Amino acid sequence: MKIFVLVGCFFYTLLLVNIAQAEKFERILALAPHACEMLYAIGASSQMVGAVDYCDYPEAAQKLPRVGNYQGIHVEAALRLKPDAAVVMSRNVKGILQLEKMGVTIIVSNPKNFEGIFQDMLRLGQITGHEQEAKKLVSKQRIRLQHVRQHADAHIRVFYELWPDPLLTVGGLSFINALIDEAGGYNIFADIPMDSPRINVESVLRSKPELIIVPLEHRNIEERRIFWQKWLGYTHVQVLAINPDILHRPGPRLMDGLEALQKLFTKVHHP
Amino acid sequence: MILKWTLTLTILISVFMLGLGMGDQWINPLNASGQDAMILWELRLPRLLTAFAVGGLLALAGAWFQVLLGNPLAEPYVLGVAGSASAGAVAGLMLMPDSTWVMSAGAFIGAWLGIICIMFFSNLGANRMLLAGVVLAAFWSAILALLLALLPAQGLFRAFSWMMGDLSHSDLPISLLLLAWVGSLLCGLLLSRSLDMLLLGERHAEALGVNIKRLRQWLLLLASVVTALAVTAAGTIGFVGLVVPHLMRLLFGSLHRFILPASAMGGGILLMLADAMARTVIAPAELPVGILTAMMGVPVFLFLLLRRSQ
Repeated sequence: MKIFVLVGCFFYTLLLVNIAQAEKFERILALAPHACEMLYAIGASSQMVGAVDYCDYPEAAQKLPRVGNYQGIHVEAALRLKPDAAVVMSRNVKGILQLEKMGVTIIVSNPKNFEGIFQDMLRLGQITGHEQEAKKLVSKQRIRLQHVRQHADAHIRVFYELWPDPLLTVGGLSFINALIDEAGGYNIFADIPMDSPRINVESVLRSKPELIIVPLEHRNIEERRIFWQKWLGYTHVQVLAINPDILHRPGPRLMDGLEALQKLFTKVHHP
Repeated sequence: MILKWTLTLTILISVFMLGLGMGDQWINPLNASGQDAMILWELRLPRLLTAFAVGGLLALAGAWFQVLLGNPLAEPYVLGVAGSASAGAVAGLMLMPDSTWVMSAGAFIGAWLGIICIMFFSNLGANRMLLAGVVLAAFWSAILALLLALLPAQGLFRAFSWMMGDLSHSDLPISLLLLAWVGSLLCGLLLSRSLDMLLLGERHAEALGVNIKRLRQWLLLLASVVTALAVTAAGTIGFVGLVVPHLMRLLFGSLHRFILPASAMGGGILLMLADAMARTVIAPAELPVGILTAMMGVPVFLFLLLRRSQ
């Protein structure tokens, strides 16, 4: 009887080891910019074989072969790289289901807050065999998050100009709204239960923002500053730029984004 | 008849005042000061006037196209002018993604390209011209789809918002739009007798001394230019050009010297009201104005259609 149990245990352990080995992926496609950044941050760069057009950070990621863009994945180009797994933001992208059918494991990473980002980094650490690095990274980031939370007392009225024409901002359901909150600001459109509502100049004027944040992509910040100071008529409104890549991607650099936001808030108080 | 016109004018004025007052907060247009006054005169008024002019131009163009093509389903966009304007706007966006005015400029060039193409077919009969227009429209929408597929992601939102109609800012000066409204209405009134005869059928009109060929060419050019102006100012706003002329025929009979001024005012009223609603319904957020024109216009139109046929 004992022998059976022992033999059973032995095979069970074998099975577990097998599963663990089977789950360690060696050829990974990063099909979202934040996933690409996470994989680099946990030191799994050598296991990455391909990426999509917007994976531009860190610089080394720009050299990875491209297999698609925001419109969809080019399945043949992706399969030619012989991937065993693909990290995606959503299954709802053209080509993902076909990849899955061809035997590529699909890992969905679409974190909605910092805890989600931490969990996803740990998970990616596990499946790439970089558990230690991932754990180290996450505990460092937890300390930074704690630090930001302790200093979140600016209470500044913020208008986030997501897009100038048509004029878009972030509503209460947006991820960036949560970031503004976390850094100690108050989004003047937090009450709109939408992700990125379209609004007009009039409602911005009425909400009297103290700080206007422009995620600068290719736009000229000076142009936006002139525009808003003309309408708001008072000069103490600050119009400041922030790098959108560190705010719009739920990856390891989002912590940089949060800290940058908080820095902008203190700039308004102590210019 | 006099009663109907006074009623239309009253509605026009009250919608105008309503449009000025409505927003995420009500402002009394007769008694505003400080920031409210600035919001009223510098933000709401230009937008309202744009809506009025664009709505009127679209309805006028719709009325003309319906006579020209002898088809009740005709509307300003049926001959592909909207398609070529949209393609032009998106092409402009691709070339200079950071510029603020490039979509309007592209739309204007695209609209003219569309007009030149359709002018080649101006000597065909109504049905053939319609057919040529529909085929051209399909061609333009294929070009548009191609450009959208190639457009970088950042531009997509701007492109879609333009294609659903956006009155929040117009790159054309408002005085030009209002002037175009007056001018095209006057041209329309000059042509109204010939239009009435054309409605009887080409042979009858010819017998009554109308130069059909000349008339069709001028009408086509006029309607296309008016459409191009409207699209350049506000993107492609649907429904106004199709339904307002029919609505006015139901209310004012079939004589063009009544239908045309009524359409020019009715289109303006509908678009001003739709834009005021678009700004208010989910304030402080906004809806695209094209949604509201159809949602408000359809019930009114169907109601009148039913009542008339009973």
